[in-house]
Amino acid sequence: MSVRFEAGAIRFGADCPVEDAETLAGLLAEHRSAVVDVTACISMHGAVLQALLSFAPKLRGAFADDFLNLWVFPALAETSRQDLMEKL
Amino acid sequence: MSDELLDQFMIEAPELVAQASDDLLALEQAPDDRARLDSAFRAIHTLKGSVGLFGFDQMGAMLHAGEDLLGAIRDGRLGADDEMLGALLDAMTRTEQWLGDIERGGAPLGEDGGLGARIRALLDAPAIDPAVGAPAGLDADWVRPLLARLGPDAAPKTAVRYRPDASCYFAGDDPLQIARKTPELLALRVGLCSAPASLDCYDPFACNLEIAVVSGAGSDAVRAAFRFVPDQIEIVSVAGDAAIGEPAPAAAAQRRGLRIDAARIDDLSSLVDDLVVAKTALAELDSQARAGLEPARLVDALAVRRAEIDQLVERLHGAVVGLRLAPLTPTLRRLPRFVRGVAGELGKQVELTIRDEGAMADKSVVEGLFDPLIHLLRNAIDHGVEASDARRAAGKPEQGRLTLSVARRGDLLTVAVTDDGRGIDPARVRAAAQRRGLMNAAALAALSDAETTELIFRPGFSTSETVSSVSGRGVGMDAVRNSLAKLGGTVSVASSPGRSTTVSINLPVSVVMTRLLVVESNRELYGVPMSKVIETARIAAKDAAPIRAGRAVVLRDTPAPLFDLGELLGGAPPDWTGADYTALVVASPHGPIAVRIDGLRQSLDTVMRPLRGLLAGMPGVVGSTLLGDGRVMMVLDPAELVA
Repeated sequence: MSVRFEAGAIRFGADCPVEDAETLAGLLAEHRSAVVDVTACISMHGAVLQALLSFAPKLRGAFADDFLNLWVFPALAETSRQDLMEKL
Repeated sequence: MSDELLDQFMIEAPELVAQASDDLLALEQAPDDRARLDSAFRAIHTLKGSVGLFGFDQMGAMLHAGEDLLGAIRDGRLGADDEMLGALLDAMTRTEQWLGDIERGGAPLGEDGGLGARIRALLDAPAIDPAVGAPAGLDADWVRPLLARLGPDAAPKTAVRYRPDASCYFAGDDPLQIARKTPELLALRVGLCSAPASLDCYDPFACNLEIAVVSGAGSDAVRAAFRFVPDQIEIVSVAGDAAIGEPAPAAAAQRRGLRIDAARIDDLSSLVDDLVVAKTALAELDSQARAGLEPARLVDALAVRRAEIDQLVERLHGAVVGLRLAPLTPTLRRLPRFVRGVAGELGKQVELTIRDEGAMADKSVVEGLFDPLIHLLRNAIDHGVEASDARRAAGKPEQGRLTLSVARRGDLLTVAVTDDGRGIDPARVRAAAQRRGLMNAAALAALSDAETTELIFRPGFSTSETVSSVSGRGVGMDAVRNSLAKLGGTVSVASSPGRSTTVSINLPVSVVMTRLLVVESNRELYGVPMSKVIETARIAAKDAAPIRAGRAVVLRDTPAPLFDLGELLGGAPPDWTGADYTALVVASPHGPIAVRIDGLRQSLDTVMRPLRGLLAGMPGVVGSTLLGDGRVMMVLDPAELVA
């Protein structure tokens, strides 16, 4: 289990496998305004990404992996921005 | 395209075709058999999915139609009838032909002969465009936004939209990881398929992702990256505005994989372990010898080690030969469909029963048996089984009965094809043989009925008075005999006129060690199976009398023609002026013949391999073997060279 809640933020470990999706969804449901810190994350399962896209939390930092930063991060940024726009 | 993938496909596809054919034939008898229907659907569905990987569009489109038709039957939207099952069976036959094309190293050749359209018509649905098989290129609305993200220098070729199944996480798929493996990734977009209805009951394990990628690689390479999820992707070519024709995967000639039971591999690796132990023991012996072991003890120790290694090598050989043993069932499963087709074409009713007892044989034997069997079954239906009215008149059931039984007896595989047809009439055989000048009347009269019946294996023999499209004219049993002889097999026929005909085949189960005589001719080495050689002889030049264009020699009071091996192999006419010659005396159908060689080398116990590809049809060449120095040596049957 590499996703954990610490000092008001949800922190990703280096590798976030499929089981983390449930943990993450639980944490995000519980702490709707929590920031997600992905700076340690090198890889994550699609199910984890899906939880991020669905709950659209605010992200802190960038991934520790080029692929994720290049292709996945923009999608997450876009979602949280849209979410923000909707909220406004 | 990876060769491995195609290899895998070429192993699985024939099995799937066989499975689907089995099921479809069974459905003809019992259209309500749900299990068979499901099984046929699964086989064709899987086949279609795999075919899609390689861009064999015609095949894919036809199979897609087949899948849809079976799907409609499964859902109860349509009721299966003979026309549908017939069309689907024809589609399996066509698929098999296409697979043959691929195996010979090319793309599947030719059209589907309207089969796809025929199946679609039965389904009453519009045909999908076989050239695309997926939504048309740039018209797909998801492609343009992706392309818009590319830099000016990017050269996109293929775009994929991947919508994983909702249950894919449970199947162990990670869509992100799969998309990440896209070769030459130029752009990727990931999002949710549908906005979650409510986050309060969010299901973390129901996949709701949609991923689209653009790649600079061709569609084959991209398909390969998504090979485990072929049914979850849409793929389009986006090079310029024109769809690009991907070159067909260049396949090596005669690719054939082999499925091997894991236990047999385990046996093999434990043998290799033993060999490693034996090798270590040799190393120890080596150091003992260097340390001054007495020669006598060294010799003893060496003998022991050698015996050990000999035994291991023998077991290893056995295990490897065993690896090549393949079950005959998959080959035999293709036959009922064939029989059904031929019988239909000839307007006869025939039922084929197969008993194979799970027999196994060397892969080359299994493969080599198929064509002769096809031939025998075709003959049995065409010439053996009578038309329905004739059968009724003879008091037989209208449906002709064919039986194919295969059994293994020790090292021999025995195959028998029996039909309950009109049998072979010796009088007609005699008449035909005489008409064709195979033998004169006196010689024919001297033959027993059984011997006469065997004449059907003579080249150029055919008793069929009408030429049918099925058997053709005189596509003789000699072809059957020849192809079986290449596998070391024999064939014979027994018939009871008016009642039945049985053709029996005996074949060695595996490639066996053959004792060869190595001879030299024109500075080349050739092997001749010892079993073909009657004796070797020294012939004095003066005893070789020129007769017409050739030469003859008297051997043990019998005159025999004398040939030169080099000349038989297409070399220049030899110099007959020497003092005397070395010759092999070999048996031929016309009595012994002498074949002059330049020299005798040694005898050799070796594994002879049947020839493949173009060489397979070369008369007189029965196989090849590897010499100790790695050279390939051709193995000849001199009598066949003369014929």
